[in-house]
Amino acid sequence: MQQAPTMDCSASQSTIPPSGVTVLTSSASDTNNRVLTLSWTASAGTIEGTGRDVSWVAPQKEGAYLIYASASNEGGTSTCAVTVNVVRLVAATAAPPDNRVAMTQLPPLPDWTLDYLVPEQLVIKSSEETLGAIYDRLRTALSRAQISNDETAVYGVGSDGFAIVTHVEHIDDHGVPADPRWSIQPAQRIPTTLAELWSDLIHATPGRYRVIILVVTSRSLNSLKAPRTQATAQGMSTLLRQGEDTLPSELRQVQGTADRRCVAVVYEFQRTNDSEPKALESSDIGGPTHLAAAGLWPKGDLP
Amino acid sequence: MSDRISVAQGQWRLAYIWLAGAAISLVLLLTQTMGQKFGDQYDKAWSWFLTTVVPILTLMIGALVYQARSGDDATVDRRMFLLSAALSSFYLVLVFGVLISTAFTSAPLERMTQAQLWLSPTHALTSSALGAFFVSKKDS
Repeated sequence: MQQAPTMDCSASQSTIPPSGVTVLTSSASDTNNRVLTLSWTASAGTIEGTGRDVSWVAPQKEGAYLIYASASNEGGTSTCAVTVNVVRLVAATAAPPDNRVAMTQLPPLPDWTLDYLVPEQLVIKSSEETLGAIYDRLRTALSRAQISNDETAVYGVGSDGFAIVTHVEHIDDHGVPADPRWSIQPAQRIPTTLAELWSDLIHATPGRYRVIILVVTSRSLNSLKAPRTQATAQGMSTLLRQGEDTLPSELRQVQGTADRRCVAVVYEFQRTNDSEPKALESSDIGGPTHLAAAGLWPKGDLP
Repeated sequence: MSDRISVAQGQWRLAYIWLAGAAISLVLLLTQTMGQKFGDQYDKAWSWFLTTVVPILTLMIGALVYQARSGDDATVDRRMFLLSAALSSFYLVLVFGVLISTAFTSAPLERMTQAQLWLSPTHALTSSALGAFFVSKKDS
């Protein structure tokens, strides 16, 4: 008598961010070793592709999602399920590959608005410099920009790099910090003229924000990205909360490599109503303007 | 001065108040929508407006149509008419005031939701008064 197929399911990643992608694999066989047709269903999200290997695109909402695969033959239908957890940016403490320094690692970053290679002479003066020297130089620039330790978080990037994440910063249309600088809620002015009253009555209170992440690494930028994920101001705030206060002393001693560089990754957000600001896909403010307007380095030093 | 007025006359006066009040708020909301005051969440603002104004407006129009079709010569207590007119005017001013107040907040939709706290009781009172106005009529 024919028996129902035997099945097995797995996911390449069991935890992914919202809109992230994981590859699902299922094997089904029956006693006659025939090729069976698989069908996939998910409680949410989108399944792309057909057959043994498919991709599952996670929904925006966090949670645990079940994805089912089923196969049938004359003996009946078999089903297997795999659970994928969808969670927002949460830093995970992980040991770097060579176990030299244990520090909170930079989680995969959502797509960003722009990145800018900071000129070497401003941050990395020589390839032999320790991470500590580079970190101190960046701290000096941050202090110049009046960005204190409270407004930053430090993450490790592998075993020989680090990243400094800044607080979500309120800016004007030229990238200059606006009041209140560190609040995501726009300040509401009190209209004093009829023209202002009319403008405030008809138009939304604008709000433009940015997050700068200074990454010192020899890795490729693509390796820092979580594909097909969109940044949220909330996610960036979480990123700030979960990092370290400073660079651990063990990491400070790490010697440089020739291909190490400092990249400023900038996320921009814009609020057009009273919902959460949305990530911009492009910006009319360039990387040098952002860094100069923030006060990190003089405009003339940023080509 | 008579203590009763014609139902048809009273209803038309109330209709004028409501149509004028709703039209003013509608034009303002339309302008705000075109000015991107609510961004892509304009549907929430319109939903608020429709649930705030349309039910009573529908009642008024329905009563007018019924009155026109029946053509009866009923009268209604003048005090009920004055109460209904006063409450209607007050309510419509409140609705317009809520829209105006969005100029002073960075969260207009939140303000409109909060306003339901005091708009809802006023809405209930106005509806009751209008209902009483319509049922208090008697043939002259």
